[in-house]
Amino acid sequence: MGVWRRASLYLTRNKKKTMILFTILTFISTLVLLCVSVGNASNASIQDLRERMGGYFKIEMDFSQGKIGRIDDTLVQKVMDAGGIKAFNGTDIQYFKAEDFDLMPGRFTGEGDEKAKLTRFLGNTDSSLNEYFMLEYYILTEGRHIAPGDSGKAMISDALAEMNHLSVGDTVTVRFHEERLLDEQKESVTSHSLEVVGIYTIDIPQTIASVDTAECDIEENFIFTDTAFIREVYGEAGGGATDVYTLGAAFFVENPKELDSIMGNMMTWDDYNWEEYAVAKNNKTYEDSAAPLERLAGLVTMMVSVIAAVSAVMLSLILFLWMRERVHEIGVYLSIGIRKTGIIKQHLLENIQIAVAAFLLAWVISIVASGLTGQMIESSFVENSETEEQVSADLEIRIGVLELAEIAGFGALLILLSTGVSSVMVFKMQPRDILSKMS
Amino acid sequence: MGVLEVKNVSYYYSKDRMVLDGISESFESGKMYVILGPSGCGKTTLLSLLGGLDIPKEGQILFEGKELQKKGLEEHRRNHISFVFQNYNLIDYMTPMENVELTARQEALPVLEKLGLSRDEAKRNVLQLSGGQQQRVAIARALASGNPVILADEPTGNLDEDMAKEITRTFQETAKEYGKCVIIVSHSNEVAKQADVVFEMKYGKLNQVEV
Repeated sequence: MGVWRRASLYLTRNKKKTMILFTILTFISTLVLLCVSVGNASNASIQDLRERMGGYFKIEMDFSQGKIGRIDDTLVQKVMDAGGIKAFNGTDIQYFKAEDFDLMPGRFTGEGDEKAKLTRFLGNTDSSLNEYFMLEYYILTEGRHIAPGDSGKAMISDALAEMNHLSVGDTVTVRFHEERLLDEQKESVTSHSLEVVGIYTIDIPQTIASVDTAECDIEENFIFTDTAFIREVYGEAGGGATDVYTLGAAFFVENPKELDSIMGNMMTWDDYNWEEYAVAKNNKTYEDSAAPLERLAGLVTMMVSVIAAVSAVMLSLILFLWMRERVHEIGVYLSIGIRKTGIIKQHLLENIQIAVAAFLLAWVISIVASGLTGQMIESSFVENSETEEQVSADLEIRIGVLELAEIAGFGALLILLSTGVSSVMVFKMQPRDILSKMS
Repeated sequence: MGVLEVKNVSYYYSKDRMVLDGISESFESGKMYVILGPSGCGKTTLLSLLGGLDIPKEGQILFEGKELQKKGLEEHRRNHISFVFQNYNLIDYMTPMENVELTARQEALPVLEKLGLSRDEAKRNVLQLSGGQQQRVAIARALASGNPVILADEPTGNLDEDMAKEITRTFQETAKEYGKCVIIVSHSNEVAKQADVVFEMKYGKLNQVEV
């Protein structure tokens, strides 16, 4: 009789033990499957967060110092050339008057002030890297972002577009806000057309608008435009040619883990007085968002370790106790010339057969349970989050092929270990000792 | 030359307590041997040595002229000898058929039927059989293995008188009909009376006696 048949006979004739082991292994497998899939989901979300918002720093003018450092194309190029930077976004701010379109009404509309036509233009080299969009406060719904190389392009809010019946491809006309200009400067100011290339919607408003809010501070009136346009109009208004980014620049590192070293290296440059700049590692949002996920990933790692250790001990103990009950059987096998390795192989096959069945059931259970677990964890995040963006990292708890393979490997190791430990007795005992124990 | 030979075999737990003291004997095919002796005299120890469950401290045990240890004890247990124990030693979660199939080199059912078990009984759990029937299953397992030597340790110890006689007769038939070398350890004179050769184990020595 072969070892497979002996193993199968043992399992089918000892239903109680089989069911106990099956239940234990199903429980352990389900727990581990869930833990590993939650852990992997956390790590995937952390990675996603890193890619979306993690690891960038900003260089801004430090207005608290007597001398203000310039953030110009030279500095930007030098930072880009230093290595480890994958992208940057230079930002500016200017105020323009809307000539052929209306703004969402605010305080100045009510007061009949001509500043009711004045709104904020946010210059960007790449608006997709602007925090409003990166953090998904604003979401592009139509068209495209302002991209490097653009000139005379604009992105407007869906509210503004709807109010003025504007869509992607239309143009809007604006004019420099000349109120503070000298008379001779005012003469050089002309109207400019901007092509609408994108329309965004405000998902998470950053301010609460009221009737007292100036039109230029109402978020729906914000217009994102390109750096070239801002610089062109600035020059036209008498400011001369400029390569300065008035709101500074944000630099995105290729590997967020290298953020500190890249910044540290930059701060050693002698040709820049960094006291004139405000340099900030801008990963607080990432850290805030990633913190609960990192805690969860750590917790899961700990849980898997504990489950693995407890399971190995528990299984070894159970199998060891059952092995003592099988001394008679082992003795018979030895007396008929079955090798010790053959006996252990039988025990291993028994446990593996149960483990495979338990694993399949655990897989089905965990598919159902992972959905519920994901919902529970996400709702827990919502309750505990200080800012809404913290929940923007969706926790997709799924059990994939990789997780299954991992758990199968873990299970096989656990079975091998516990069967091995419980079989020590068989290896140690001499056939005659076993037979004397039998009688 | 016997199928099994014992040459100057000694076994002891300590030098001042010899269990087997320089025993030499030869066991032939087609004969039933009975080794008599009181409890603790070393009968079972000798059987364990013959069966390759243990090794002698001194001397040699030969199977068909070759030393057991050189051939390998597991190999010896698997291919040369079959054990029959007082407590039957069947696998309790198997049927008689399956127990016999553990070692069988032939169809199990005909062997069981020849030893008096019905087809139905052969497919029940072994624990549902009487003591005598269980011992027949053990003998059937030994027979079906095709091994030339059967070693039986008090095979009738748990059976009533009638059943003991029947089992002893089965052993005798096995020796004659199948040409097996059957060595039975017992303290029963009734078993010894049906043997071809009877030994008595005393003070670690094996002496042939008439019963």
